Amino acid sequence: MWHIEEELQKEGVSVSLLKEIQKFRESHKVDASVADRVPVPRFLYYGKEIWEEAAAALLCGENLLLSGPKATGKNVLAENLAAAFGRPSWDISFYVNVDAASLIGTDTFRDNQVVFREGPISRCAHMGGFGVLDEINMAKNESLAVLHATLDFRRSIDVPGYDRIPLHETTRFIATMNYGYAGTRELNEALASRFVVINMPVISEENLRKLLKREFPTLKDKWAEQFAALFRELETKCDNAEISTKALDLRGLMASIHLMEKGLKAVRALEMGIINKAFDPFERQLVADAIAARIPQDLDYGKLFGDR
Amino acid sequence: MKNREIAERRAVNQIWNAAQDYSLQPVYVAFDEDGDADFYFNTVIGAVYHYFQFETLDKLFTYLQRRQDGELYVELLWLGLENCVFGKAKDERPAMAELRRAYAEKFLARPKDHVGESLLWDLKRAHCQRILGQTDDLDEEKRKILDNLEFPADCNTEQVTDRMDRLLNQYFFKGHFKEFEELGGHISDSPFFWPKGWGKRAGSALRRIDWEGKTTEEKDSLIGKARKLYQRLTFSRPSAKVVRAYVESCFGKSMFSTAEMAEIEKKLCTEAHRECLLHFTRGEFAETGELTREAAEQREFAEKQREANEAYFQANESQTMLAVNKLTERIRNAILLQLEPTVYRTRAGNLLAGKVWRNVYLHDERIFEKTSDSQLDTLTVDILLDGSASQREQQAKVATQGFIIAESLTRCNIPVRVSAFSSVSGCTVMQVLRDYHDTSRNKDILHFLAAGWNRDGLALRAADYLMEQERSEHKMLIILSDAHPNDDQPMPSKEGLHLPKDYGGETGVQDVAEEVSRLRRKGIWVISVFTGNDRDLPAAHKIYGRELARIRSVSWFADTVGRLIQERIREM
Repeated sequence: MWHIEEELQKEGVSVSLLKEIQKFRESHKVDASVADRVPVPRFLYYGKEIWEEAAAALLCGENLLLSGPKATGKNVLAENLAAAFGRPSWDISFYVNVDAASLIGTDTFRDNQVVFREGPISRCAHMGGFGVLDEINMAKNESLAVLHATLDFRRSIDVPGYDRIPLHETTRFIATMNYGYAGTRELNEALASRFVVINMPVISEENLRKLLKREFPTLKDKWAEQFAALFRELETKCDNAEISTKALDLRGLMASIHLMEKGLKAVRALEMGIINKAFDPFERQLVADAIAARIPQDLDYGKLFGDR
Repeated sequence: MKNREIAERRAVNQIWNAAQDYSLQPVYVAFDEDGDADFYFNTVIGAVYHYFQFETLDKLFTYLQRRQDGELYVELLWLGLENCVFGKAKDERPAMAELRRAYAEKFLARPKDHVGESLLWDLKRAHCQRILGQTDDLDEEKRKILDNLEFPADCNTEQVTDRMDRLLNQYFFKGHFKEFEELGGHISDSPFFWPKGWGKRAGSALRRIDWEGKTTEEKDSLIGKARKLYQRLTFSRPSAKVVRAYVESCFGKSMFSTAEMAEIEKKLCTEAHRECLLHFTRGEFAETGELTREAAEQREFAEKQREANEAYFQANESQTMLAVNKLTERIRNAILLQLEPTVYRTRAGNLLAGKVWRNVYLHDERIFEKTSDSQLDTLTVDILLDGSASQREQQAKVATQGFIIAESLTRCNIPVRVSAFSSVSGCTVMQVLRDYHDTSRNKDILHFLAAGWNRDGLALRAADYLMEQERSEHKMLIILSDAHPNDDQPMPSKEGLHLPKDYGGETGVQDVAEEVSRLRRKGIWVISVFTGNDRDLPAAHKIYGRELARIRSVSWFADTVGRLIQERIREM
């Protein structure tokens, strides 16, 4: 178990900001019924500047839009922020058919009465939580219009036929959006203007090495460096449009190393976690080449792990 | 795409990866006897770029190549560099040692290369034996050569050239690289000095990659011919009438009447394109009497080019049809995934027991459900090909790729229009090769003719005009372009004493960028498939932002377009 605050201090995040976060946390107690929703993050988001920007925005009452390509830690940061601010969080995944009812709530029948059943957004608004609007750009812009009043200065949810739900003063929304290499759906201006936007950079080689060492403490330094360098090489390949982003998969890399921990050979594990993510045979070949140029065929548990 | 191209692209990727520099165009690329990319040696080549100043080494290679037995010396230098680079890279890339052993084992298992120089063969063999920790079987002198040649890991560029120079002087010939370099070795890196056939020798470990597919001489003459279309008319700026008659004779009669054209030009040829003309054609010719000698000549030239397209298509028909099948399958899958059945509540249908209460208490009659297959929103795809003379060399390939796309989309019932644009004497010609509903005219795309300049900004306006004529929920415009707008018709001056500016360079890029963002604001999804070189990459980014798919060879065009359309469908 680690304390996010200590870790942030170690990362060099501004002390005055950390103090304000602490003040925020202490002056707003969490309702016991949702205390289990305050996340206990497994990963720490590395990146001092981004941390400072995000924390400052939330302290000012702004909603946050984290935009960036894959593997930039958008969701990790969102979860970390909720943990640092000590707020319960609601994860709301957006998809094409998302509609007002699935966000705000819908009628239901209880005790012989038609009553309003709160959706995740309403619940979050009510309890002063952090709502993580995951992949917000995947929903049709029209169906998000219901959120306009929620996200701007009105800070309220108005459901026709029911009471107006004002937002709790600690409620914040953190949206994430994937901005890919070959172009994804854009957010319309009306919605985008209700957020302050952070463009998430791809994790640096140094931070990735730290992340790997934290997740796999016994992984030898040499190999943590190799995996980080490999990831950077794949990133360069993506930037140069030689491969798609499918194989640039941080989760896949972590999963592969977990498999190695269980005794699978490195090459086999990377094949499952990274290479096979690309379905085009030629692309797979290019990714496999990049891996083969660093990772020996016979690399296995005995050689990989052992540091303490 | 041909196997050779796949192998080349893979090989170059291996080099880029090791060099961590995707802008370089490697002079040497390694292949094994089967013509596949030689993984280990390409990694070595990339590492050489990474650790050394390749400019200097390149001069050294040129210097060696120009000698008699040049190939031998080049191979010797690579042997030395391999040894040195391996020493440098082995810690950084733990896989190197194993790859190197595999390389050596593979070499030793090979039957003797009879064409090869026997000294080179002996040295390589001994080098491989040493890699595997075996003792070599060289005589005294050869052993000394090899000892000297295996450059240690701590050598820098200068030390490598010095050692190579000394070695050559001691055992092979008299002469000094330094002198050569000072005497102007820097101008000798032109491909002109490379012996003919060097790239084609079978079984050679290294071959020079042919980036353009043609020698400089050939290139000049081909582009020259195509540019002639415009040159003949440039002595004095001809009247609009002459230009129109001229483009009509080359590309085909206009698809709009004179009055309609006047209206269109009034609308589109404004601002930066104020003094330009437009010509839309389906490539049909009006059979009117005698042609002028020049027009007849041009017509014949165009005919010849079209025949060449046809011939290329015939020669590659089986591969082309395979590509069509594959692409069709991919797009069809994407569509199928999108067509999920939707369930909606109605006043009649299957009773929803769980909703009955709504009728009792809320008087809601919609307590039944019906299922129907959702309709995919209508999507139209416009493919706009850069038809300027710069595409001349790959004209047949571009046309074939265009055919693959059109044929696949036809089979998936997606309306597609393929047009090409070029600009001749201030007139931007839109060749509409295949319109949305011409489902049986896919082969007409082979009438594609590359000639003249490219005024991308006006062409985009023209494409937009054509797209406006069709109703569709999603419009997609894919442009095959080198992001290098260039036209001999300048941009008119603004009011006052400004001189007209050339349509090209920064100004041209700016103009195209504005057009693209205008189209995007209209809701058209504009993406570019970029075929240009690194020099134009910043311009391409400026124009198209991230909506850019880069292809190194036009053979990837259909494949890339397929991917983009798939992505688009998935988001609909």
